[in-house]
Amino acid sequence: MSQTVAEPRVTRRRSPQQRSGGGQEARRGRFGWLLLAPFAVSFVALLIVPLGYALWLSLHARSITGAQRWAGFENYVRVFGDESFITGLKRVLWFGVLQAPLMLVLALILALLLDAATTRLSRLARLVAFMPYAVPAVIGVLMWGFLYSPQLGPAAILTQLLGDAAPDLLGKTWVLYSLVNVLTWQMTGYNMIIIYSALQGLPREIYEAARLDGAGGWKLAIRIKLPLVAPAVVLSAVFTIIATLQIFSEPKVMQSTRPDAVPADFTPNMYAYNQAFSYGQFNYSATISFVLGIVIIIGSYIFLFATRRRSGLND
Amino acid sequence: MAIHSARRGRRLMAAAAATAALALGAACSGPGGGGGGSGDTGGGDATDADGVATVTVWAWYPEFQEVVDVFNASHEDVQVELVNAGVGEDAYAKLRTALESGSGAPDLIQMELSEMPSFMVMDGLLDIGPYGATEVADSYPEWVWDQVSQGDAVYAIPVDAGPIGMFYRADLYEEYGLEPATTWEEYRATAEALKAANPDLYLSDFQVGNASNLVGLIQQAGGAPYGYDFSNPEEVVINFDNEITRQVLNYWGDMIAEGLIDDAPYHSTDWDAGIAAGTYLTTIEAAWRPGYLGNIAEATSGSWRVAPMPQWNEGDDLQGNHGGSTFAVTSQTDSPEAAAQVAIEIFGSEEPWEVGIDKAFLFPVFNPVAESPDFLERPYEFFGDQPVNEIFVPAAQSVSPLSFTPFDSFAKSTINEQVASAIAGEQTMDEAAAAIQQILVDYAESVGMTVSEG
Repeated sequence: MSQTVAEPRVTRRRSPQQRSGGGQEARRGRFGWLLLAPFAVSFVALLIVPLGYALWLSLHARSITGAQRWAGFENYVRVFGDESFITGLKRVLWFGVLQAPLMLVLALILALLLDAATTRLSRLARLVAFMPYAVPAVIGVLMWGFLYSPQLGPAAILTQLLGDAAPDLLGKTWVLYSLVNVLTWQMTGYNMIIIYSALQGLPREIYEAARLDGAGGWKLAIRIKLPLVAPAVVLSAVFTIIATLQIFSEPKVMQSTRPDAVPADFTPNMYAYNQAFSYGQFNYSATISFVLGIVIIIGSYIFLFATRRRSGLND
Repeated sequence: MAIHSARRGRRLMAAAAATAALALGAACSGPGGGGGGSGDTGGGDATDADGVATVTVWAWYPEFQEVVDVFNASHEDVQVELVNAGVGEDAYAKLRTALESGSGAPDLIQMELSEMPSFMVMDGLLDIGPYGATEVADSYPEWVWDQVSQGDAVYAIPVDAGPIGMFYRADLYEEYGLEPATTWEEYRATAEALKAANPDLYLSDFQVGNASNLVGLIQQAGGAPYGYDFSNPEEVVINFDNEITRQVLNYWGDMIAEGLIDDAPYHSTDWDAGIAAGTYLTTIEAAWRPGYLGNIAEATSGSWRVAPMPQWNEGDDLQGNHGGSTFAVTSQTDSPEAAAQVAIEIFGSEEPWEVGIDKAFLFPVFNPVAESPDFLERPYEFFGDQPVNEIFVPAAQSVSPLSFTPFDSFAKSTINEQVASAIAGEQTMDEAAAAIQQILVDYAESVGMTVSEG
């Protein structure tokens, strides 16, 4: 079906008329490149070159006193057998499985509620829901650290009630779930805004038509709004997957107060950071980063492929 | 069809490139902008038109700006510019990045003795022997000088040390009828007595995550976990899994398991609160620690006293050390002579030490100050006017020198993780000691070193 649409376009582009104006097009092309230059320069300098350097590093190795030597895929073989990396990866995957749906459902519900209500209160509610995102991650985590502390914050009530049986929310067993809560608190408002904007952009006539057909508020939300904002939800989900696999700042900050619960290899990104900047293993760190990048690409692709009907990317 | 899938492919490519970029961003951009930001503060400083050399310094001693002011006021041709590059590990991470990238290091950096081998092995520290450093060797105790020098080569000028003592709350000890323990056996009995008198209190906290202090405790028991000599930079001795280490680990592990000693981590809000509120009556700490304790527990100032570390065998005089630092000139400096002069002189007279001792609670290793009666007899307000150096000075003299590996950051983090896992009940302390040994040996071999054990 699409081929029939595609054919004429291709032929039109190669029409003789356009070929005769080739000189003008070339000039236009040069001008286009000129306009592109500021972006291209920074893109190459800040992305392609560092990526190339990281790739080069990952293919080399160095002894503690020696010089760089070619190592081929040695580092890559090591990453896939590295328990620290694999455990960290499993941890962030589990984290994503827990956190992403929880947060997206919350964001979706909030967005639908705010879209349905149009009082002054709803504008305030929108601001309040978004506010945690405006708190810098480091400050947010430090604050939650106090709230979770078994001796200081509200969690201390649990300690008083349950004594030794009270869960240590910052301890080894619970810290991951505590972080799920922190991230959900922080990011729900952000995702809500994405979905809410999509809702605001929907044509109101559809609602009217639906209402005339007898759809109530509930049906309108489920049958009309939800399918129409699905691409926005998918977008939020992709961002969330990427952010989850890369999670760094929150556990890193938590580590400074609870080194017993958050080890240096808690997440793959923390592991890569420590390999480079604490242990001076720049080659191995670059390898970990590359493997993580590939995992993220594959993960994002699988998700986009699985949701292709809803993603709005293929029609 | 073709166009559609191509378009989708392109979008996915873009998404893929973006995700890869984000993932790599963390590894490439460095800690807190250390790479880029430090470029301005780095060793690009040469002598200016008036012949004044500016030396950039990364340091995190408490109240250090005042020491810098003292130096700058008394020097005309050299001026020091202090840069806050973070404390300890943060500053080292930035230095490591600067050394790896070839620019951005300061002229001079505060460096702990335990970290020196890590940076010497990267060729990150300059031999300042030719710039007059060898001439001041006599001003420092031999055990410290041995750690900063290699024959005539001098890689740092020592500043302070961290002899460990037992800090205790005199008021609370009196309230519960306790005496400062002189042996570790007595220390345990004291902890039991306190628990019986008031189950809400702990004699002390183990400070999970404070590997350096733990190594000091092991050192005091007669252990030496590492052996390293810079003349053979690719050889290292790892001796962590032995009777002494296991004895120390089990001693604390058993008391934690019985609830006699708390296990709030080092630097945690709970530890700070416990010290401030008097939940912990004792803490085994280095001499420089009051400089930090003062901030955490200002209200308790004056209630603390210091006693010597309890001994494993009655009548022994074995001591431990935690920390202690130096000033090292980095290999990226443009003005090695001026940087060496600052390293030698900034704490190399009595005036700066007035700030260093009065306000920063540093424990000097500069003999003219450390051996002066003024220092020995000096009363400390934090310790209820007790002249605590009567305890710390002999302790510092009895400390046996300790070597550190050129991967101390990794070693510390391994110790912290394994010990924490034992305290959480996931393994025994004996297993933790064996695991630490194995992990460190494997690591040393993975970076191309020859390891001997035991």
